[in-house]
Amino acid sequence: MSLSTHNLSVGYHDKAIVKDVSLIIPDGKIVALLGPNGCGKSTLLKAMSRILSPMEGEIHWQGKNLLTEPSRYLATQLALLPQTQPIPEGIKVKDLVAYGRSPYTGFWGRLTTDDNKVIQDAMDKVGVAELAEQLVSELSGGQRQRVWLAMTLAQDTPYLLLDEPTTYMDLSHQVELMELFKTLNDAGKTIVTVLHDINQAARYCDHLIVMKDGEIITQGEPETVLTKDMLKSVFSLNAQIHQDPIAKTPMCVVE
Amino acid sequence: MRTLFVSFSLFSLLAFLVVLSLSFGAVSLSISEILSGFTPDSEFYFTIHEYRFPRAVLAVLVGAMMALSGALVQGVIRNPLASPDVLGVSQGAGLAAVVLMTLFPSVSIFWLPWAALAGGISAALLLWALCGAHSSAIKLAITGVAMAALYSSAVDFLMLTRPLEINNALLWLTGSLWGRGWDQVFMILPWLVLLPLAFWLAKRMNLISLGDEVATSLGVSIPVTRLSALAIAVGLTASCVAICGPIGFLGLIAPHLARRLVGGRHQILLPCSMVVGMVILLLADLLARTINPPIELPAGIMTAIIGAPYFLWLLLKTR
Amino acid sequence: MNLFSKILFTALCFLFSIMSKAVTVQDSQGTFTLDYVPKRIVVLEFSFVDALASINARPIGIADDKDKTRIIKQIKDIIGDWQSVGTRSQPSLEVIASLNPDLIIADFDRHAVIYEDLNKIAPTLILPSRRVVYEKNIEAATVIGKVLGKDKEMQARLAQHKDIMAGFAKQLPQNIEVQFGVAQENYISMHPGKSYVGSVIQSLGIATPAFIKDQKASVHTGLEQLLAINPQYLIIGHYSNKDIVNIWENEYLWGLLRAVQNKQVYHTNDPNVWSRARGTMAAEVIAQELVRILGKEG
Repeated sequence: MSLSTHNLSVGYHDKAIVKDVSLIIPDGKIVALLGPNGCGKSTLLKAMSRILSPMEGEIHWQGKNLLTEPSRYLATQLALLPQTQPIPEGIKVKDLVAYGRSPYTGFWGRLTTDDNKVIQDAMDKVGVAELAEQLVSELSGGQRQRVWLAMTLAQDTPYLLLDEPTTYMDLSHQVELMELFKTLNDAGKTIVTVLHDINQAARYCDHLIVMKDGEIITQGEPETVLTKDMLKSVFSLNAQIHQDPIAKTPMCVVE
Repeated sequence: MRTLFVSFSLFSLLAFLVVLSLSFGAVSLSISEILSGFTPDSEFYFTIHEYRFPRAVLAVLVGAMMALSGALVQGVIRNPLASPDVLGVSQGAGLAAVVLMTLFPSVSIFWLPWAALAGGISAALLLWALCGAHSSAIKLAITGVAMAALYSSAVDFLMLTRPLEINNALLWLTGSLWGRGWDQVFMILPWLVLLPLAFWLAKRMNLISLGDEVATSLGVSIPVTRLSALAIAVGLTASCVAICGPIGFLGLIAPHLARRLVGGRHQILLPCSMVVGMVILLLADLLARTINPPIELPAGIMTAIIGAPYFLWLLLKTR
Repeated sequence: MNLFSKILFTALCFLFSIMSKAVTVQDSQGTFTLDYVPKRIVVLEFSFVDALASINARPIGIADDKDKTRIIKQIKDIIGDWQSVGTRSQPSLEVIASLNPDLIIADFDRHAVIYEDLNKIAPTLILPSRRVVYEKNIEAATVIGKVLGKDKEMQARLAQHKDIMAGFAKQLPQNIEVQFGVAQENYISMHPGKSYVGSVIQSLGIATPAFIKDQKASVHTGLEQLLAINPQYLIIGHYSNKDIVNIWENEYLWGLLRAVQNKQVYHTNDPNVWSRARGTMAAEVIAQELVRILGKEG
């Protein structure tokens, strides 16, 4: 239990979006946060990555309060890829990915050979190595999303927190991304990701957390979480659950 | 290497402009006459050592500082069209200077730079008090622009109701290097301590460009970085404006042009902006002195003349 | 004569020559001393040119805004040609230096900021010119006369000036009120009572309308404001044929001005001498023109 929340309430402008949530993120799993729009899944992710401060309760990393840990140390433990990013002016792809090494470099940001190896590796993994010399501002939305992901990978943290990483990506890149999660997970990384596509989550993730109105409705393996009742009560959907003929994971089909 | 080539070209251009600044003016001097001008018994001693050289030194310092200030503000506001003007520092300094000139005409002009400096820094503190340390970049910019407009209106009001002071005030408000010499150079030197501080922020400025969320996740404290960068920018702008008046466009164009030349990594962008700023202000002052001698135009008008077409070109290019 | 008396004699001669030449006056910065008669003079305001010309001294450089027509003809006839040293607001220090002057005469209002620099080039006499009334201007001329070693000439010329002005005053109607303004593109720039031309008019025994209290320099005035001032006589200077007065003349409010109704609006095509020149000779030209305009009336 590296990352956990304890009676956590968090939100914007004194209005709690996430209400009194106590949650333990299982180590070494691919975890999906699911729920309808506005349910608080992104807010929860932001709280776990220190963007938002808790209004009540605490978030713990390795049993210690997240807010009192040194931020440079946490930057080597938890990496966040937000839903939208600004487009930095005049920055090449390889520079942007290199920024992911910041928690490890000195004040001037000079890169060592090891740093360069990690950067190259991250670009190779998400397939943006051939874009290295291009300006980030000249890329398509999907390419940019993958570059940002490479930057997050270059941060080389045991935990990855991703907010809807498949947005802007075409289907083949989405599938590649999910396969990449598997590879990273096999290498020992824990991945917490907000996803919209329930079937995608059920197929590629080990642990699903379903939220509604700022509270956790249910969590567990896809087989136990994905039920007809849950889809009805959380998503107001009339759907059937079938088995994916290839992956043998549960799959919902809307009636 | 593009960066190496750009740096070499910029430094050559800078050196060339320094020589031109020393050589040309209302009277043209040869290289040997320029060199002799550094010895006290030379007939060109005043022209070179007391006039053109300190003025060139001041142009280099102010150009660099204004450009650096602009690069910091653009980085923090995350908008390449931002400039120190969005903080209202120049306008605050201008208001203080005009208040001194119109309401207290008997006060010695010795106090003018100090009043302007106090005005600029007060404007920044007021902005900080209005926005608070945790406000977003865009709130800061909008509040700053509103305050700047308020100060400008106050300046207009003072000048319209007290027209007798209008000429001196207008002259000061355009920004000029006329009549500035070694005294002003020595006044600005202490502010150079801000340069290493700015460079110390370079890495964090890069991360700020990735957005508050990613920057935080990479271990950067947004409020601390933003406040430090803006405080440095305020110090640089206020000290320059105090001495030369608000030289328009400089803090906007120089970093913008530098970003096109060497990209957005602040480790290169900050020093490159400074050199571009030096080149622009030296060129502006050289033109201001030599375009129609012996008439001296304010350098602020020349930076506007150089700056406006640049933006027009940008506009046409982006359409 | 033995050696001792020779030395004593030489020393006395030397001392005498210094004492006779050294002049100490008060200028706007304090005490100004010059121990020689200046030959190469640069002046940075028009009123000082006027003072120089009135004692037949010729400046080598003038801050004439690079426009020789700004020096009035009467002065030009005396001083001959000169080199321009740039604008009055921002004169070129390097051009001034290149002329190797032995005296610079600067305006306190405009040039206090470069006083130190000017002093590095040559001893600088700094006196009031801009935003100063007629009497102060005459005081400044007196100081210039002393520094140039021509105190007597200056006193004589100023006495003559007084007579000339008194002569003009006699030809002018008394108990009238005259307002002078320069027409611009969007407004008339009114010169109030405490401006130079206003104080010259008053010295001739003519009143000037009271408006905007204590205003020393020109005031941008619109038609409605002009109607509020409503002067008895209005003299307008024109730099070009096209200015705001052309437009105002067709407006209803213009017809309500008492100067218009009584046909007491006059025009001059030489506003330069009225608004910029500021000096004793300029004052005489202004007075002469006033006599030409108003002399037959009253």
